[in-house]
Amino acid sequence: MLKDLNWSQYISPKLFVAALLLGFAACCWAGAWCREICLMPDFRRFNIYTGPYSNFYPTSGEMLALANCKRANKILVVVGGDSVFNCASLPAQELWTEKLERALGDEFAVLNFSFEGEEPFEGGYLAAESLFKQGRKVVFVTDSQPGISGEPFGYLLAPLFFDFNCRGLLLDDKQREATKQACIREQAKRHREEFIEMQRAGYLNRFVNAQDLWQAVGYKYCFTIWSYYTNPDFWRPRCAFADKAMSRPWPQDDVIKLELAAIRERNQKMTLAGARCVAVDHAWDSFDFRTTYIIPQAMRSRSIMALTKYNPDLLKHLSEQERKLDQALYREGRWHWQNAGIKSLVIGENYSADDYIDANHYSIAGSRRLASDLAGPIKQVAEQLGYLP
Amino acid sequence: MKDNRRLRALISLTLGLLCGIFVHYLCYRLAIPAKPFIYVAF
Repeated sequence: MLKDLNWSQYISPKLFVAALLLGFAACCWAGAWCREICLMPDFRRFNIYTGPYSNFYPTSGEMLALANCKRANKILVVVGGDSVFNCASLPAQELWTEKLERALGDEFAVLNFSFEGEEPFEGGYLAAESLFKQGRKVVFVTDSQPGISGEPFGYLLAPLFFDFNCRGLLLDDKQREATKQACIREQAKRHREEFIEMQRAGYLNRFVNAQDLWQAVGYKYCFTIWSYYTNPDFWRPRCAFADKAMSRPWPQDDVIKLELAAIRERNQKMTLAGARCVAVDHAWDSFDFRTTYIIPQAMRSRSIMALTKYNPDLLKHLSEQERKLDQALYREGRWHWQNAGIKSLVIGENYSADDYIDANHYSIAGSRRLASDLAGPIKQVAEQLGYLP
Repeated sequence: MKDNRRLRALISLTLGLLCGIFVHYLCYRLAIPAKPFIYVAF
């Protein structure tokens, strides 16, 4: 029946194609316009509804627009890192970065670009590097565990790396570029196809701005992708979802066992029960090598790495020897970051159980201590960079 | 006859615009990772 229909009687092919191109071009322009506007004027942090867990992938445009809302003469303190710095277990109004901003004073503006599960040098870090390239005064602060430097192009937010990279928003770093090309060339590497796909998507988006437009529509008007966390109201705009604290079970025996197993595995890998041997040296050599291509030289002097310790209530389950190893590992981890030219400090050495809400996330009291512990080193780095008079 | 031509132009323009917007939306959907945790292994 459709075959018999005379389409040209109802549709003019020339007009149809012209309108199609016009519609597509208008969307590209609208996407470019969305990059310039600050979608989240009351932004405090990214949460479960504005992060990849619910299929919301913040774009480079959104992150830079958030930074550009801050006055140009301020020193931008960009905070990256995982749920520890995201304060995911606390309500947004108790966020430690707001306490940090107050402690730092008027010359500073703090942006919390951490995500639950973010690697130390993805997401927020990319925004910091891009802002530095734009000529802004930037100090980057992130958190990690000893011996963990993260993946070169990210883990949770890998598409964001390609968004920044394909738009030319990052510093030209030969070593990082060579690593990226090597990854694409290597046939045997895992996930090579996803890697190439993300790069293609990055280049496509550079010209069509599709992520920028449809994420903005999803945030403001209507989201079109189902996700577990937004079910059954997945279609509601993301701005309609309140940022709430994600409580974690604590203290529960199975959670304690899991956390202790993770600490023991990490300590085993990096110290092998305290012995120096080829395997341990190899693990640290590999760590040192990674830092050379994850963070360009110019960003190292403006980055601070905070190695955060676990709740003492959890650590008391370790044996005396295991606790000593854990302490030694923090010292060694700190030394390796310092050796790479990145200021590093251990956070939580003298914290009590009251400073934690669970195994490794800070309570309100702990977040206050965290802010005051980091304010000094941030000012010191700003002074060294000549940002402060 | 003239009305028919106008209607034809209107249908062509509306459908063309909608298709253009849809193609742009497809660019967005296809670029979203199928799996949220993409691990780039080295």
